[in-house]
Amino acid sequence: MNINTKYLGELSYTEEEIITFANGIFGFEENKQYLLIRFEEENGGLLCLQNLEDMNLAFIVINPFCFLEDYAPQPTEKDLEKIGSPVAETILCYNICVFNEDVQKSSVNLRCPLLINGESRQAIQVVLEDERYSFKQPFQELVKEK
Amino acid sequence: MLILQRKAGETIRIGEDIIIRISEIGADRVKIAIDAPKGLPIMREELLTAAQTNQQSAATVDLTTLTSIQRMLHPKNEEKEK
Repeated sequence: MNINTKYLGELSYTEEEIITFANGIFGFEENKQYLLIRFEEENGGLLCLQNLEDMNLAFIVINPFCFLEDYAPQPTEKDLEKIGSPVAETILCYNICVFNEDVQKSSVNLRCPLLINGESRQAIQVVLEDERYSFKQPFQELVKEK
Repeated sequence: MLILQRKAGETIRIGEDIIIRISEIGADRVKIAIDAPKGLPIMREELLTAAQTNQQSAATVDLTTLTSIQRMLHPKNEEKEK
């Protein structure tokens, strides 16, 4: 199957690659199916979450563990049940970024990670209870920590 | 801002058809029961913040910004270019 993406031109994908957010993500509850695409082969940290229903809907996300070694999101059991209660090792975690023309003002949402069941590809966006994690963690600080 | 003190089980009424009842008081959280007309949006503040943040993230990022972000993520590559 082929899809026109917002940032990466036309791509082909298979059924198995589709990630399903049964409840959508916050503010986009109607959009359920996404693809996760790497921007560059070597670029482990930066990915594009492309919606399949609307080619103009795409988010730029990061793998938080590339930048924050001690990031430890603790989703509730109730949240995990919604993606089939996967064991911790099979959960993939990504965080959505807000980019600004002024890169210094760009941020990442550490409070609301996207959690994906690596086996079933069911996914959910959660709001963590842990207030140490900011909705808008400046990107600059992450890179420094790295 | 109006501030009222309530005990567990007590209620507050807003207008004619909204009733807020303090259902349970725990060590660091309270359980609140809200009775309001169907269709009236009620949500936890952080869900609204989450939705707003996602909406900002969905805005189009231009290619120049993307490139500078990738540079920032890979300072080593930048050094090589120099």
